[in-house]
Amino acid sequence: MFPVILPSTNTINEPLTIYNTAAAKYGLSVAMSWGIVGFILLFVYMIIQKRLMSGKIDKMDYGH
Amino acid sequence: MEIFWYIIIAIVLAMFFILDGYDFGTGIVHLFFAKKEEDKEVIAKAAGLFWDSNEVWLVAAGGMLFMAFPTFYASVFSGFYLPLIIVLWLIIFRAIGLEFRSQFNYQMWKDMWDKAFGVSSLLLALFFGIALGNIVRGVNLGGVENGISAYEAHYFFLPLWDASFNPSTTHPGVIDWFTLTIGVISVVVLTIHGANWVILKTNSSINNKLKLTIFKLNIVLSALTVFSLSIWHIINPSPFKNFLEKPYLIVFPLIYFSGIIGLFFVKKNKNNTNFIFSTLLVLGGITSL
Amino acid sequence: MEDMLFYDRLQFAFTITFHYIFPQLTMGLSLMIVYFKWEFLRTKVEHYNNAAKFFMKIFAINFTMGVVTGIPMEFQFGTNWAKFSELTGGIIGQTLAMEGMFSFFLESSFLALFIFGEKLMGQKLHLLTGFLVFLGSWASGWFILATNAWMQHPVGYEILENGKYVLENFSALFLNPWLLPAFLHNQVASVVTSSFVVASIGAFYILRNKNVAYGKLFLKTGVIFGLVSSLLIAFPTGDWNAKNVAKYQPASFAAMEGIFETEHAGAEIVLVGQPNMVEKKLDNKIAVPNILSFLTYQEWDKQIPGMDQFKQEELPTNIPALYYAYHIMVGLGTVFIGIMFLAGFFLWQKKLYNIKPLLWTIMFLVPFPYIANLTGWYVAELGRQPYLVYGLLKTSEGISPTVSSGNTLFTLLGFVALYMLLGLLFLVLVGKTIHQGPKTQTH
Repeated sequence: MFPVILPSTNTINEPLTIYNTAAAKYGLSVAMSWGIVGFILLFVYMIIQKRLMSGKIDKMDYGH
Repeated sequence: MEIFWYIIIAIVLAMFFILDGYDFGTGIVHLFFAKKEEDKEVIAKAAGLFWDSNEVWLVAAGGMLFMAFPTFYASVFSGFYLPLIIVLWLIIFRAIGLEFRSQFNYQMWKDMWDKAFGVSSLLLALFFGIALGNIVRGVNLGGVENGISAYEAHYFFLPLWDASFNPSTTHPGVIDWFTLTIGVISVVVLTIHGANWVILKTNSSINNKLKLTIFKLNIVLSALTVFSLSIWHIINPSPFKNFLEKPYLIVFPLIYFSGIIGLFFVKKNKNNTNFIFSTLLVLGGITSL
Repeated sequence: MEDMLFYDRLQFAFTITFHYIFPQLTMGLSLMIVYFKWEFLRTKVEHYNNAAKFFMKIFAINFTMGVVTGIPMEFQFGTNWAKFSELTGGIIGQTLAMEGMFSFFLESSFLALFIFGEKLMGQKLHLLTGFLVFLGSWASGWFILATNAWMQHPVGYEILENGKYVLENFSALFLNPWLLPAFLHNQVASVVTSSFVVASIGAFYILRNKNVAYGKLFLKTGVIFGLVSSLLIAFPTGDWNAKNVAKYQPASFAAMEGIFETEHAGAEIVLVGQPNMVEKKLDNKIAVPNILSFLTYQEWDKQIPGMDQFKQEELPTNIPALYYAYHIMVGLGTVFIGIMFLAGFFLWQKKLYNIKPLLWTIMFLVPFPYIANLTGWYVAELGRQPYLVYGLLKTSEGISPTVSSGNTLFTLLGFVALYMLLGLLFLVLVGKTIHQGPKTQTH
């Protein structure tokens, strides 16, 4: 479907695309700089967590 | 720049469906296949330990969608108002089911929350599939009636269903037989995915039975996939145009099919590979769109 | 249309009020957990470690509640306030997305590690995970407050011809003069809540004559944290915020202080009174002359504009509610300082554990910091009305154009029902945890 993200079932109005719904350029580019950092962090957290929680769960205790 | 954020959000959403997908699937397995109390307990744990760190991906995706594509966020969230709020309720209900079942040690209490967890997992899997179906099919943007837009061109509002359940009208509802098909596919995919997760994570007594179930479900899934492809032209007259124009995109459906085929062929005792293939299944399914 | 706005506002108010019961405890409590864990590493007294783990259990219950009630908050920007989202998403989307990415992930990942990983990681790493949970929850507060600060006092934006708000200066979002005072005030307030909870559980254990050693530890810690935070909440953070309101939202300031008419020399401070909106005056007023001018500007005779100086459409829409919210918050804050001062004095005299009436008072005081926190937010939010983005975008212009009032009422009723159930289960669970006490390990 790319770049369409929501097609229109009528012929009058254009479908929504990533271009006609995006925020302004400046905002997107600043967000990209923190977004990359954040994204790396997400995967780091996920890997730490997956490593510590690997294995069958029967052995771990559970509950608050 | 738009493309960068499109890709990032697609990755985050795919992560959400892969990760929370397995605990939805775990819930479905729990609902239909777990009979003994010790199995129920351990299967509920297999979701209970992970659901909240999986659901943060949904929050992240929501936040980024809001930031990068505010018009889309506003349009889709208000347009799918009812189904979205119902999904929120189901998410809450599922979470309390998981968190509360082991708090008191008597059977009635546990059964009650087990059902809450199982049923809401099933419905969530269905609803997320239906949502994907809606995004593919499209909506009556602008609320056009007799050639006149009722709202601004990028807004719409969908009822839960239209009496005809017909996807090819100009103003379909959220649930029609096309989106319902996608919803059922989503349930089957996530059940397979969840069953693989249960096998990977636990030593429950139903693991061997689940392997057989996965095999059967995989046949069902293949049939459903063929069926959905054969009806695809109803909602989109030239469904393969994009793939012909941008041949590299074909990699995504290929991932999906390799997931299906892979699940048929892995050896019975290789649980890890199995899980990887069902991950591929989810990933391919999402990204093909 | 009027109905629609009313239901949208009611639903948001209801869901956010219910949501904010949980984060206000977790933010403060995470700080105290880090303190307990730290004291354990320093003194090697096992009690501190058990205290940290006990409160982490309570934290976890609250965190779960915060997550499941928080997801609807994020979604409601889109579902009920679509026009607002569309127009301002490029700006407040930034801070909200950063909240998800930088703080929410941090908090939830390391919470799981803190609860399950003590044996695996060793004590120092365990303290570190506790600290990261604290960092995540406070960062979360920071980003949410940054979002709110922009709505209270918009900065760094540009308005396009089609009405959209475009971010023009990213760092301005975080240098917003509204942000730091509001953040500090809010965080200190959450420490007040958590100190009262900790002290209250302590008082309960002492009075019940059960887990008394823990009871004394909790009470002592709660009173010390409570005394410091209750003082900080008034000065400098509360004072600083009030000055900000006087500077940037003078109409709201007049309304919350209940000044109907401008006085020529210095404004009085109202202690008691009921706003009479028909005659535009306060009934049954008790006030001290000139104090407000002094508190706000350090000048006894400084003139403060009353509500008569503003046009009707600039004034907050619900003046009595704003006035009461503000006075309840300030009144309760004063009570907290008083009680904590008294408790601190007796603690210093080593008599506190035997003074039953004071212990009972502390135990039953626990709902009030919650009320004070919530009314504090009502002051901020009611004061901002009739605007959604202060001075720029009216609340009525922000709602979803396509959602009908019937649908909103339906979902509002659903939320009420579901949250009642949630609240009940929450109380049962917290009650059970407190009943089990700190020594019991996970089953």
